Amino acid sequence: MITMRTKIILVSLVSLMFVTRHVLSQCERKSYCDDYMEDYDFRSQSSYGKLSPGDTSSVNVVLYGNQTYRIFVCNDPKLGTVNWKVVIPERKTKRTINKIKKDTVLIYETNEYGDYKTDAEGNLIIKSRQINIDTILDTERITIDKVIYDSKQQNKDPYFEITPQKSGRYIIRVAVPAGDPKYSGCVNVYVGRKAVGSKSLIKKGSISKYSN
Amino acid sequence: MFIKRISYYLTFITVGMLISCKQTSQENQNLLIDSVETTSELQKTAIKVPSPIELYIFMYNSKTKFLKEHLNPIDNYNKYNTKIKKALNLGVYSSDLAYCTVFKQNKETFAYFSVAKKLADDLGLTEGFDENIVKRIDANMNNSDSLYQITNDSYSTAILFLEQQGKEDLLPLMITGAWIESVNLAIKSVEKFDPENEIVVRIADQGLLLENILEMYKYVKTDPEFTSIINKLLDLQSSYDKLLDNTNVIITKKQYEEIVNKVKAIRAQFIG
Repeated sequence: MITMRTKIILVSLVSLMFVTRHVLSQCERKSYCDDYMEDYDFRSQSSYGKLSPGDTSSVNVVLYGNQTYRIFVCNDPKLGTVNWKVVIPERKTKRTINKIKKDTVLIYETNEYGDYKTDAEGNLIIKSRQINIDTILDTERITIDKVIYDSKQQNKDPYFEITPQKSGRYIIRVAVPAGDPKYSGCVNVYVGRKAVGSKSLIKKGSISKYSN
Repeated sequence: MFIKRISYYLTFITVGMLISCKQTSQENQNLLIDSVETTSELQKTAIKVPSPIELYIFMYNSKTKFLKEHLNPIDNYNKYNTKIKKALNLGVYSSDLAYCTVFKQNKETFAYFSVAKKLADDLGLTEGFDENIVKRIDANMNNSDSLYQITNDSYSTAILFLEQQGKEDLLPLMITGAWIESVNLAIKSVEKFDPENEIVVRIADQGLLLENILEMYKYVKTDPEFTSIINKLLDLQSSYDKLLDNTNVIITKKQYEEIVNKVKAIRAQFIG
């Protein structure tokens, strides 16, 4: 009994740790499209928020390679048809040499496990110093949206499924159609990872306001 | 209210960037420049990071060993006297708790739950985990669906409390602590470097999560105490940036070792 309860509270507590910066207002959990859940775990990176007509919103997520994900957006029907896109923020980088730096690198004392030791004040304990020559590069990052799913252009699957070959950052961009600005309703962005195996913490079809 | 506040921040940041654009073109080199489509209007943004549990399940399925000796010792709890240290280590302990649970170490799970709960209490984050929730859990002990709904409710209560009390700034710290602990445990699970090793590849992937974590700090109010943490994370990100130059391998041994050393140093300072 204790173990079960501990695990439940554990999920709550751990979930609290991994909730993200959420600038969308908190929204009561409402599932407007239960039929799309199937055997995916939606607890990790789904997002729920209250939006008004004309609002736009983004949810930035990371999808691991070789895992299958299902993404969809459901909303309060009073908001009308909310359009959404899944985009890959393709990052282009330009690196230029800023300077060549000669640095003294501090070597710290480690314990028997290879972890750094700290003194009574929590500072790392210096063991020796080493001179390193390092090239300092400036990195200019430019991201360009590459749209891989647009709800406007879909007339069959109301959700987007992807099994990325390698891990990457994805953005779900949501746009609420114009309407009465005084009204606001829930818009839920579901990002589900296909449940694999029988781990008890993977609750198939799970939805929540948090990541676990 | 919160949205308005964020909107003000973003407006100020945007105006500030426009004003300083010409004067600091060199400094702006590291800014993320979105395409026209994404910068045309002020947007509400949610930044998400996969839970460390996903990494732990991956490690468990990869048959890595449970490494009890690499968890943050419970006794360290007494060292955490500041709000920032408590928040960081609430993340660290919660991550350890998740690790123990995934690896089915029930004794350790209970111990780490207790210490995480103590830190949560210290930070006043108990509202989602009060007696009512415990009673509801007891009443629904045989109904797993209800139990999961209860945990959702408890989370919502806790978040509402955090926002109402202006404690939402603690969240990036907790996430940072949890994340660094998970990366450290993944690193410890690698017995020998091999760029093809699936855990090594997952460690290389963590640069993506780091990027999102750093994004989160942009949305919290500027607290000077955060600066040192952000700088450490930025330094780690500079090592992850080097992976972008790779063509044939995801990560080289030298790059891996650089990341490992930085993760170990950051983690040691967090838990020390």
